[in-house]
Amino acid sequence: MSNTISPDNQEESRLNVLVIDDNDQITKMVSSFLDMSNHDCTVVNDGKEGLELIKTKQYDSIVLDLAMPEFDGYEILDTLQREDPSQLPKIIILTASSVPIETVRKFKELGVSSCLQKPVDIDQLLAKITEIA
Amino acid sequence: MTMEEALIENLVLGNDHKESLKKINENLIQYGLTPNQAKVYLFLTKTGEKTASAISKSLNIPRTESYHLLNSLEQKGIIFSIFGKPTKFNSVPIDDALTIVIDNEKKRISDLELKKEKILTLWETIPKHVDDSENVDGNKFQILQGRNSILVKIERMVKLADKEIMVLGSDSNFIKFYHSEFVNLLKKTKAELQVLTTYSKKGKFALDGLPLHNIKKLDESNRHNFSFIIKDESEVVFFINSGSSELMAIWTDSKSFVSTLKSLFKLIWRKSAFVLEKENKFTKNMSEDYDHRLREIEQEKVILDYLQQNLMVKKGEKNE
Repeated sequence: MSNTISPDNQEESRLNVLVIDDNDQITKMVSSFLDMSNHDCTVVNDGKEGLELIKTKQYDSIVLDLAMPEFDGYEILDTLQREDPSQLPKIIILTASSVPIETVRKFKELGVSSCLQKPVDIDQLLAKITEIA
Repeated sequence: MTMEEALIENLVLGNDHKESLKKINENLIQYGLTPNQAKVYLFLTKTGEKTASAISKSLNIPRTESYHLLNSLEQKGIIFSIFGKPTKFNSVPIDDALTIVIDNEKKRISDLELKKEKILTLWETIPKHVDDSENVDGNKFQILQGRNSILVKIERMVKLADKEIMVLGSDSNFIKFYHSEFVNLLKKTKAELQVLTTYSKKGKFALDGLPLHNIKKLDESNRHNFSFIIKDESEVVFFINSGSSELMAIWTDSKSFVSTLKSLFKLIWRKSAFVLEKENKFTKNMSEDYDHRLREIEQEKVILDYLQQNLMVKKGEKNE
């Protein structure tokens, strides 16, 4: 499914996406293309801040980086899973780290929707975001 | 004692090497040698060919016993006699000797296995005087003392499990069984495996090779000082912290005990988090750091290209 930007996106298909990544270049650009695709995007470059947002607000999907200083994606998943494993939000992991297949399998078991390794095709990422929402 | 003998004694049993020799001697005992057999073997290995009389004098062993020891070592195949008068003895090199004694032990075990069938066949021919119905499952227990007896039991449980195996214990428990077949059997089991453990940085090597999706981490509140292993719904081995250095455990097939521990396990399992391979979160070596950064840059480029391309499309649409 190709999900190129269309100015005719309907208001009801507008998604609320949270992007957590310590790389501010990435978050800025992801925010831009989500905005161009008529989605609402919140970006944070800090894991703890991201976790707070997940706990306090509802998002249609969350794009989560794994390797972040201080509080990383693993810790976010770990905290969410401990608090309520049945209520894990819709998460797409987008990481530049090499993730072993066993860990990917574990992510799936935890309820993570998708695990993508950077660099990822934007159409593919957009498709995932809309698919899980 | 002659000068040569004094030198030999100093060389072999001198204080410089006393501790090392003591340790080697202790290890040889584990290979099935008696303390004096080990002593004679090491003496010959260090000093070369000697007569029985010289060995007896140097090691301060009665002459008759030294003949007996030499005879038994020769039968084991780790020393040999040299023709001549008087007969001299010498040893095979230590690495060959260890291989020989290991092979002997292996052969002894395979002989025992063969004999097992014979004993069982013979046993079948003897009429029974016990009613089988008296042998009710679910009420038996055994106290297991020492690492080996526990190991034999838990390895058997893992081998025979066909539904599930639940293991709760700290890494230090796994380390005790690290050089055994236990962890390997866990890796190979076809039963559903669930392991609850501390998974500490220092101790997790003992679980190397176990699939991570089978392991959950015990959090601080659940790090009680107890460990147990449940096989299917039928057996449990519960470790007892007796305070002594020797491992102790209770095995039981008591249904109520098994189901109680199983409920406890399930409760802790539900509350615990899976072990995530955090080693990958910050790649330690330079090349991994480089790959990581490269992927980030490539991602930035992909997004930029995408934005540029779509801006061009928009611009084109406006112009039209």
